[in-house]
Amino acid sequence: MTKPDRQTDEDAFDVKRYFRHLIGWSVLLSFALIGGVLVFFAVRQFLTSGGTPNLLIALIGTPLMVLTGYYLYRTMPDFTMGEPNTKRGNRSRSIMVAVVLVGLAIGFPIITADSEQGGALLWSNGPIPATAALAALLIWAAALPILHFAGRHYGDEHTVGVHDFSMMVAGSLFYYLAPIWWIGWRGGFFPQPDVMVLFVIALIAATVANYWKRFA
Amino acid sequence: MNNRLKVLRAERDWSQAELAIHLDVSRQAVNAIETGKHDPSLPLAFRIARLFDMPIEEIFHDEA
Repeated sequence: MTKPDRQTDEDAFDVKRYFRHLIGWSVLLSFALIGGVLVFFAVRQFLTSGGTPNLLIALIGTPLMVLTGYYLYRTMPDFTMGEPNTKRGNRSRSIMVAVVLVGLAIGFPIITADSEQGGALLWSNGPIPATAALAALLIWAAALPILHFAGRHYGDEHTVGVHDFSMMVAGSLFYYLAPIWWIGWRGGFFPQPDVMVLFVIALIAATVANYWKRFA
Repeated sequence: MNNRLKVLRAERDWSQAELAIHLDVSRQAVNAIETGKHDPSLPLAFRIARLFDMPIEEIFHDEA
């Protein structure tokens, strides 16, 4: 490979273009999953009751799932984000995959309970069945320290530095907001503090700080 | 802190990804060091110096 080739190769990685591609791919993935869910329900209903309406849903869902799925397969983004395929890098990316899987595993008991009760448990702030809550909190409590340790162990110093910065921003915001809300509530100015609202604010702040530190 | 990392890398005809492999860091880390957004730790600075067979002070310069 000649020097100009290498320069082109290096310049070819465009973060904004990569994320546009990734977002577009994720939206299409949602359509493919919706198609899969439609097919699943159509097949289940057909097996239990039969009839043309179920076939109609299958006729919509099957091409949606197959065609979108094939297109997604052909245009799958390079999840290395321009990074070299090193042991450390691959382990670091595996942790990101593990984070997503843990998220799904935590949501699964709640979604299962949700389908049994016919409510919207996942996105509500109401009570959930004790077994679902216990399963979700045990997964979170066991997985988070391991993922945190592995993330720091396999990340390079820049990655760890960016993570430390984003945690500092999120923590500082939490330290700042929590007493204001609490004292304001006791003074009768604000509604009762909600820990999950503070958690989401801190999470958003950490994500913005992380991306700012990496790409700004 | 200023540094000559980009020049030294270009002299060896390495991409950022190739230098990242040599240093066992991410390409983002190499980019952040080259653009002055991240000052490497002493251990990484020594690794860089050993890789290019140069003293640290010939690669990194204090801005003052």
